[in-house]
Amino acid sequence: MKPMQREFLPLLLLRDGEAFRTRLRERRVGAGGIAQLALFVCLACAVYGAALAGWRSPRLSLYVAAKLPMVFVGATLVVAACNAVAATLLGTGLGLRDVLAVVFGAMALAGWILLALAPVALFLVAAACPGEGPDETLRIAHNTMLLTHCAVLAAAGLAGVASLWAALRRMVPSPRAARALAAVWVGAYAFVGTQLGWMLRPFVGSPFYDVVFLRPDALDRNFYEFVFGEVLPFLLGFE
Amino acid sequence: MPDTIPPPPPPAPEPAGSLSELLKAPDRYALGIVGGGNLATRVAVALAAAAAGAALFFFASGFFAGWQTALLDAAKGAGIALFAFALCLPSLYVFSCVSGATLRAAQIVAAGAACLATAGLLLAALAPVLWLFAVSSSSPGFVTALAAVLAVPAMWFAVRPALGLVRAGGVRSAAGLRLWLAVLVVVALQTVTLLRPMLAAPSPEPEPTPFDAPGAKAAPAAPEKMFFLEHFVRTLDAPPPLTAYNTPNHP
Repeated sequence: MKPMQREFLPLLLLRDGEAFRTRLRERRVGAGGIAQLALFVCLACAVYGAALAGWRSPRLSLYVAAKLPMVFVGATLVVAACNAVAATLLGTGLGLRDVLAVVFGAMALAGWILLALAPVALFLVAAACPGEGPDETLRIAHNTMLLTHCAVLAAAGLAGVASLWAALRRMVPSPRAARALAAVWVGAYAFVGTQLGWMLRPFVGSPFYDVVFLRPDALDRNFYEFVFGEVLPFLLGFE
Repeated sequence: MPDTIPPPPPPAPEPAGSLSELLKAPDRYALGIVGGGNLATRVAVALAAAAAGAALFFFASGFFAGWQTALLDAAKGAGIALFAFALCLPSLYVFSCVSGATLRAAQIVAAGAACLATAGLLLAALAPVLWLFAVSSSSPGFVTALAAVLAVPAMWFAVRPALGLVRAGGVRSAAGLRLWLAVLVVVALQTVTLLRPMLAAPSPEPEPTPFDAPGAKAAPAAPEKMFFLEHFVRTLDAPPPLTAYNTPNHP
């Protein structure tokens, strides 16, 4: 398939990943292309976000449609400089623009997966989740939705990581450097993305809390303090 | 008289795009999809086969509660197959593209329909087994479990056209279509839960309450929303109805 000169990059990425990676390798993805990819990621996350919180209330749907793109794109922007420095230190020859093009390309592929599964998520929300009822029913519904969305987001994330790896393998001459760079990027993104997600919760929306844009304790402590201060001691029996 | 018997002539090839070609020679069927000929007919025939197969399978299971439920279940079965396919069309396209498909959208739809049709044909073939147990069992849990077990080979073989597509060069890997089939199964199971009861006649119309207008019929209550796994577990746990063999006074 021969790509046209001015093609919508997310569509090129989906239809002909090899052509997209060739463009990346030849440094033919400019600021406009990066903007296309970033906007597509925002759109895909907004659509899936709206479906994600649909079981709780239309207002939370609207909130999450705004918050999910913030997590995905926000985490990328926060770690962009760190990623570019890592690429330089490892001698890969990638600049900031290449970093953004590769990362947003990977996220755009994850965005396609989210868009593809949004109708299924919406159907599950509409057919399987009672919006009201006894506490036990609501608890089960919330946990089921949580697990379902985690599975979908994990699938999208895996597709994104695979795409990132495929791009780095073609752009970085040394396989060892490519592996190290992929590990640093994915690690940094996961570290920051988890915290952003923690700060911007609720997403699925617990039926036992009011619908709010941000929890009142959003900035009180971070995700890792919560894990090491409460979850691990509980699991290990230190309490 | 010659010493050796001449070999029998090779069997005539199945008509291109037919259901028998899909079953006997999925590679050639997939090659036809990659060739791009007659796609609309292929999709229509495949979807009709899938709907008919699902209808027959649910028709057989519905006999557990009598022929009226069986007829109702047949209609539900066809609807479930077509609805799940329609809802999963976006994921079919995206997953195929991510798996390296070089096909047009219509060809991808034809490939998905072929997978569904293969499952439908196998479900139709297994329907008599399900019918036998449906008319001779008292436990809805057993019939549900049997239906689930019989559906496993159907979904297992449903991937054959996708593998044929890989060999024909239409897609680089069948992983996307396998994943798509898994999503399709989840949607189909949730639709079954949405359309329950499947093994019982629908509840009779509720009595009008004192608040309803005189002569007005009470609105039928919508079934409780439920995740399909919970529905499955509840059905498995459902006690069998009392019969002459399990009543306390049975000698």
